Amino acid sequence: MGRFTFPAWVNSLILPGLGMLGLGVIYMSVMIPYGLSPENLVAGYEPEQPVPFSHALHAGQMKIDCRYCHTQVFDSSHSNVPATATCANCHNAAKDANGTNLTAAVHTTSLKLAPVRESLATGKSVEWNRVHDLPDYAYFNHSAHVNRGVSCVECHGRIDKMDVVRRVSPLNMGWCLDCHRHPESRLRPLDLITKLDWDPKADPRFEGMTREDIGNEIKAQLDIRNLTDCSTCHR
Amino acid sequence: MTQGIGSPSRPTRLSPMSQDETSRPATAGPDPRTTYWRSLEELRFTPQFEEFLHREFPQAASEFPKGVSRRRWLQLMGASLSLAGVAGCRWQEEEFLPFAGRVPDYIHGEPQFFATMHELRGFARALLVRNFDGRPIKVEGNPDHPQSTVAVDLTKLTNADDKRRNHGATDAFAQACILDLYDPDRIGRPRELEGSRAMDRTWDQAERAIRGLIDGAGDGGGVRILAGASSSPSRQRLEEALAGRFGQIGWVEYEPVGRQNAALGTQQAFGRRLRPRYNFAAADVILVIDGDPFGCDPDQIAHSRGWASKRDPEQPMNRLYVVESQYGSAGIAADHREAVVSSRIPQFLDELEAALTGRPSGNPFVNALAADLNEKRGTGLIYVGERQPAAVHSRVHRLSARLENVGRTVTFSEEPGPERPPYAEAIAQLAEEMTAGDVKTLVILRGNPVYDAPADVKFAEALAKVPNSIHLSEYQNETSRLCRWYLPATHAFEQWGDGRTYDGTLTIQQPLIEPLHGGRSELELLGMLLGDGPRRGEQIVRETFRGLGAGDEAAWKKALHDGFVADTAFDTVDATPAEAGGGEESPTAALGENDFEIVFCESEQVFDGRFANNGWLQECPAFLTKLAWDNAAIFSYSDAARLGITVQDVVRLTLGSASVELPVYVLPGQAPGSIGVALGYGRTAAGLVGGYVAGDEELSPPVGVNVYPLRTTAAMNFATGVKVEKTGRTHALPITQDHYAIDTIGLKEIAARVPKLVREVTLEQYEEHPDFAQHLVHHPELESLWNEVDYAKDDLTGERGHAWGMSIDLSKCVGCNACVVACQSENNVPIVGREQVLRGREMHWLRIDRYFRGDPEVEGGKRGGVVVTGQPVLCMHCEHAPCEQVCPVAATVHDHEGLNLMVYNRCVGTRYCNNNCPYKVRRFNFLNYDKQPGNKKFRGLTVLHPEGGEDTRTTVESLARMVENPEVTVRSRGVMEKCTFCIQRIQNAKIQVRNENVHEPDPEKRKNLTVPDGAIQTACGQACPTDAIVFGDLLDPDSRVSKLHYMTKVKGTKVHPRAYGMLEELNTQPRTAYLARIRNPHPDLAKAEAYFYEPEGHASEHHDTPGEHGGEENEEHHT
Repeated sequence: MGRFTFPAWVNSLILPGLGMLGLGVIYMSVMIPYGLSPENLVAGYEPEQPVPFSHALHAGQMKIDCRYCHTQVFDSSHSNVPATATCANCHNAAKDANGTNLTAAVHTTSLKLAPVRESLATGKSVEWNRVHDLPDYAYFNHSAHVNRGVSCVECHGRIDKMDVVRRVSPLNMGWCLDCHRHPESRLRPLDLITKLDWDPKADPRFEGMTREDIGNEIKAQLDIRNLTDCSTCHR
Repeated sequence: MTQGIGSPSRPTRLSPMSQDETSRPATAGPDPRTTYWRSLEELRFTPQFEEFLHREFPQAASEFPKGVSRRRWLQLMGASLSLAGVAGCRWQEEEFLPFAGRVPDYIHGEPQFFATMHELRGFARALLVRNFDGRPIKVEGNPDHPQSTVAVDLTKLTNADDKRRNHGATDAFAQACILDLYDPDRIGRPRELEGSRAMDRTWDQAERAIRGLIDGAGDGGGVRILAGASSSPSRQRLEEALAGRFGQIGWVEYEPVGRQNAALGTQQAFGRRLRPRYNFAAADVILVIDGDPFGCDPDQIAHSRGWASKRDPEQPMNRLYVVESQYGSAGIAADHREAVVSSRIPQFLDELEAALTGRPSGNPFVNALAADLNEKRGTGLIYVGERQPAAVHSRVHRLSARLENVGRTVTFSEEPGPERPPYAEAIAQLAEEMTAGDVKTLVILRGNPVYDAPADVKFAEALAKVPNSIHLSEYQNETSRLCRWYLPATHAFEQWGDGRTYDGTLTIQQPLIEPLHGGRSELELLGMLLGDGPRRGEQIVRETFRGLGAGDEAAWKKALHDGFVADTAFDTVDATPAEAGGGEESPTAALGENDFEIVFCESEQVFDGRFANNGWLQECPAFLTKLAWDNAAIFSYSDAARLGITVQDVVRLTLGSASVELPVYVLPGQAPGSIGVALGYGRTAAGLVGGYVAGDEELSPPVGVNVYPLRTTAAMNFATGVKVEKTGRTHALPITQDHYAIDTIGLKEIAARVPKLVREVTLEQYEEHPDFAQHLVHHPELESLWNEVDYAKDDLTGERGHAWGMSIDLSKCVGCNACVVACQSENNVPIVGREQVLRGREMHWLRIDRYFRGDPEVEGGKRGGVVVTGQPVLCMHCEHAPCEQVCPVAATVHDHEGLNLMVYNRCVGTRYCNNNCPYKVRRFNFLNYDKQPGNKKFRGLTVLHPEGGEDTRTTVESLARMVENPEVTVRSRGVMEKCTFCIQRIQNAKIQVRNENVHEPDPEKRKNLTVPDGAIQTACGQACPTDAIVFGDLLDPDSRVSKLHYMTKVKGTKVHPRAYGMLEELNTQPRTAYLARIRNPHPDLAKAEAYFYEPEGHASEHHDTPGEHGGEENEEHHT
């Protein structure tokens, strides 16, 4: 019988044990929601790409417009990743009969660009890793947003400052709905959609206007409606 | 030869019915003369039906599927759960694979449309296919092609919006052919049989071997080519080139259900082979004899459109008489129908001819018909079905000429191509040569003669005598198995080609995707046989194009873009009947006691068997029988009662020395003495879906029973002298008609309600009370528990919004099922399989209900027999939706445009919504149907690769999924789904309008966000050949739908007199309106027909309770 009884000193562990358990519960109830929240789980995703293409260099320093590569963003639900041929507009070693470069011929021997040259030679795709991904039951349409005064920067952040593209927004439904309910502070004139560094305060066109004022004006101009129907995104 | 099915061990829901049960008086069932009914079981209230009622769900509806044991299932579920745990924290990582080079005119993520065609038994059908990122996903009719515009007066369509409304319609086969493209059972390489061993070969090896055979044949003496019918000018050219190169090469054409009798009939009537073309739009009186002008007819679209253009009672209506042995699409649409056995049609014609010359018949139907035909000389039309022999065709053509209809409602053009012998004769002669050993090399281009050749030809035995047989085929079917060489053929959407539609318009076929499995087309194989000259499909077609003088490079580009060359239809020729020759009489003996006529029909699902591996078609319930995944012997009511058989009993049909065993289906309206059987079932080498038997192993059980063994060269269409024996066994048939039955009380309620669900009257009654449809149901003033939403204005901006609505004209529906398959294709509706359909789990978002009315015992020349009314039912998008009010998680809600949405990611699968839906249009995913190709039950494999590993499984699953529309969510297990009014099309159209208008300089235009009428077509409406389904914005007073609806949303629209909402009295306010069916009977017959009744609202003057009449009108109207 005695061998089934715990020794008396075990009693002294009960209180600390319960305390630990309590702390554990508190810890878990904080850490699990925190760890699983889209802000932490999703935002900050920064996969390495086969070619270390720097948006900071191309879009930031050299001020190449977004649409130079993402040509179809105003026409399609999907913002296209450029064909390798677009890279080759500059990074092309092709020469004519006299040995003169046909194009800009920038860094034509760089090792980092090897996948681009390989793709050009073989016709096979460069396998880029997808950074921004929505669940398959959510239908996001790029053209519907950029044609209605929503800039790239609202979802993608300052891409023009990123060497490696990182996800800055949680892209969860609550986050989408925030803007769908109150789009005013995120609308801008259509000619400034791809101007990621636009500062409304410094823009003489909108002197004395707050961001909301500008948004409201655009909203009235383009008849923007707050679409919060489920059917807006789910089909 | 006996084909057995339905072994006693199979689960059967219904037990055989004894004689005295048949004669049991109707107790609880409805009275057929005064109301509508759905099936004989319901009408007679058989014990089986009672049992069916008492179960809330059909037998075993909540059990696991048979193929996987419960234990295995739990293991699998456990495994996938733990895997989900590992992979679940982050989303699946994906890659972008952009092109290396830029593709002109291609916008990633936006659909592209290409004109092409497909061919069925030698007639092209012009199509417009939607490609999404390089893969074809949806088929529509080519709206610009003459096939679509023939019955539409284009001169009346002035603006772009009107032209947009002219959608290209299709049939169910065209809609479904896209599924075959991605069928995993098509995976295959060239294969050679060495003894009994199958050796995989490359195309190079195959080509070398075939070249050797052809070159070794010298003048081609021992070489025969067996092909299906084709209208392709390129094939014609290659055939001639082959004949020129090898003088002795033989070319044989065979089609199991071809169309030759019409041409042979003109040969008898006019002395030359002509092609009749019927102009239904010009006809006031139409007689259809034993045929299916709106169903399996090569000119079906033009027929349907023409007929429907005169079915608006607001304008002069045509009158349709139908004489047939078994219900076809015309019989459904008929104003008067007479069931006559197919072999007695000549006698019917005798009677009609006599009545036309003033000798009245004893049959009032014939007299009325004769009076109408005589009166409407020049605007009468007599269509005779292909099933009837040439002699009947010839008589009908003479009759048409006498009635002055030739040149007006029926025109003739020269039958193109060389004069070929009748198919049965041709294949019999070929088999004779093969048996005699005269054929050394046989090249079979597509087709499946081992399965579908007439039984007395004994094609398989003859084939064994041919040393070198080569089969080019999309599938390794029954014929390929016995051929030395099997060569994979391309699908219609993978190849270059050309063809002519029924009217003769030159139509171009362009590939939409590279051959998925490296197949070759028919043209390419013929090019290979020729040796020199162009070898690639495109070169061959372009050379023909040049040869036809169709034009230069620019003309080719235009033809490719449009899909056809304008003004290339056949010229109409003058046709005058020659002197009556002999041989026109086909004597027929009267049918004896146990001596039946058997009628072989192409199946409206699998056609002649070629679509047997197409799950969409197999699962689409036939309009009349509501039978899916099976065929049956269709008996008339009186024959079944006499023989003491009932539905699902298995009987043995014996004709000569051959017999087959088939389950019985008792169809009201079937001509007594005639048994209808559908060809194309019982395939043993179709594939995973249609059935595959390898030796003794049934890798996939055959679907239905093969009835080709009864078919001989002497009787290809119908035969008499069939004996029927009972076998005592039963076979469960997947019939969808009684699904969703409730209980006895519910049944009575349904019976009382059906006349209010389908409202129909005669033209005369309609003219007397044009608003009868709105007064059929009287109900007290409706008050809502909820706040009424004003859809007329956007609640936020006050600008005009949209209120989507649909209108379905019951006067025009012919039950062709094109809408059902179109919906399945557009909306990723899964295939559930035979077992699941038996349990009432079919997933179609759109079903076509059909109701009978009339006494099934009335037959043979008497009026009051059974008539049929069809009604497509889909989600009504009720403004006060009963489903929404019971959903505990708000997974089904309204949007501000009035659409009833189903949010899959919220649904937890309580199924309360379906319980509360009065229309029963919601469908529940009991299983992960979309994962079936990768399911363990299927082993994720094709039947041709039963031993493949994980790689094969992945390939197969991803291949089968390529057909899915990327713009629609694929639903998973435990989720409810239903019609969305094609919300993806609505959203895309709205986004497109906004994207375009936002760059307008004019601020007013910039704000205009309304979608023009006709820019949005639902998949069902777009496919509909009779334009019965109209979709649009009820807030647009100029839209078509707002003029065809019972709702008035804005000023300027009026309630259409025939429009009503189904179950409006429940205050659901359905957004789908029906237009009451108006029949146009002959005055002499009108009152005797079963569909004639005094609608309640008018017959019983007034009911006592004062109240609303469903509309704004008060009671003055009918006092």
